Formats: sequence, structure tokens, C-alpha cells
Amino acid sequence: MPSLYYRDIPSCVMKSVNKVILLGNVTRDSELKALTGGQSVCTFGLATNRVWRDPKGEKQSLPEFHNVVAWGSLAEFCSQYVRKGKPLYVEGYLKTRSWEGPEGSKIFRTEIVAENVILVAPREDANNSQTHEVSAQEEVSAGSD
Amino acid sequence: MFNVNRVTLLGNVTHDPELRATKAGHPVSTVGFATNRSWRDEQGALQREPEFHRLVCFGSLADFTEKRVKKGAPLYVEGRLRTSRFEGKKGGTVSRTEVMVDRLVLLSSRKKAAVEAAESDE
Repeated sequence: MPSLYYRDIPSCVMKSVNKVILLGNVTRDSELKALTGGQSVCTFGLATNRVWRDPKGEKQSLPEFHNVVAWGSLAEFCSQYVRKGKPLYVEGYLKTRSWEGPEGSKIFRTEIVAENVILVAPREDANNSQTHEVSAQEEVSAGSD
Repeated sequence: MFNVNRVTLLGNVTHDPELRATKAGHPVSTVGFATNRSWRDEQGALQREPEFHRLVCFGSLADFTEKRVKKGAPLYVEGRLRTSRFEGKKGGTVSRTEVMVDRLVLLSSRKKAAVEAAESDE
């Protein structure tokens, strides 16, 4: 029977998983930028609140702030629909960039590259019974991340 | 609205865990971790880029990593994102985003009797 373990298959490297799921509120309106290569990029902030009970039994909450980046058609979607204060579902992967800051210190910035963004706020007009999906997913095609 | 901050990683350890203690005396370990992202470019060629992460484990999970996790080991990790700010070596504040681990599974262990996974105490 053929081996099913990656380490037994020569030149086969274990595939990785780098997945982030966030559900929180937008902290900054999205910013759409067009890069010199013609690509669109959209960035926005998202906060998630962690709620827990401390040893005394008291409720505690602490916000965590995330930087989200979207590319291509997803960027266009986000620039149009992602608004400060709105609740949002973001699915993507972690990407950390680093560069030399002033005085030679290294600066790190970790971002979540979005692959799927879903607007989770209830629609303003409750009378409108027409439901349509308001979300966008990154198209997986050659040349796109 | 209840919020969600979830990270799932599958990859390899890049540095042996470093075990330290918090101010309160609890064990904390940091583990270097890498995942590889692969995709096909416009020409159809396979491209691969590593992504480096910092895993932070507390309590018994930290002790577990010190005993069982080594450089090169494949791991499955679940946790949450936290960006912490601290004093840089050259002064000024440095911020790093880390993964606070709440579940860790060793993938290289073949022995069924040995403990292969650990969860955080919280």
C-alpha cells in the first residue's frame, strides 16, 4: 500500500496552515490605494474584544487591534463597504513585514491579509425581505495571493 | 457582539523554546515558528515564501514546550493574536504581534502512549 506520510515521500514538504479568523468592529475607515503596478490595496483597522472572568469572578475586557489588508477586487469591495464602527468577519493569513527604523532599530508590522470579508451588521431596512450575500472572497487564480 | 480572535497554524519550529518567568513567577515560553505559503505565479511556477511567527505559551503549556518541543518539530497550533509593546534594546517602544497559544499538538510523535498535545490552563 502506498505510504501516506509526507516524510516517506521524497521531495515532499508538509503543507502549512496560516489561518486567522476575526470577528470584531472596524476601527478606521478603509483606505484604498493604487500601487504603481496597477494593483489596488485596501487597509483598515479591526478591533476584537476579549472578555473573561478574572480569579475574583469579575468580568474583564481587553481590546486587541489588528491591521487588515485586502488586495484586488476584495480591496475594491472593502473600500466601498467597510466602515468605521461596523461589525465585520475577516478570514485571512498572517504576514509580517520588517524594516529598519530610525536609529537602526528593526520595526515589525504584522498584518492580516484578507481572503474573505463578510459584513455582519443587520441591514438598516428590515422591511426589505430580499436577501443577498454581502461579502467578497478572494479569487484564487494564477498571479493572485 | 461577542468577538472572535482565532489563529490556526501548522508548520515547523524554528528555534528551541525559551522558558522564562513572568513577574508573578509563572512560566512563559516563546517559540519561533514558521509556516510556508505556496502559490502559483502567472507563469504557473510554484512559489514558496516562509512566514515567521512568535508563539507564546503560559503555565503548564510553557513547561510542556520546554520538555517536548524542539527546533524543526512540526506542530499544530491554535491561539489568539496579541500585539505587545515593550522596551526595545536601543530604547523606545517596540511592538511585536505574537500568537498566544491555547492548544498545541506535536505531529512528529509516533508513540501513542506519550502525551502528544497540551492545552492552556485558562
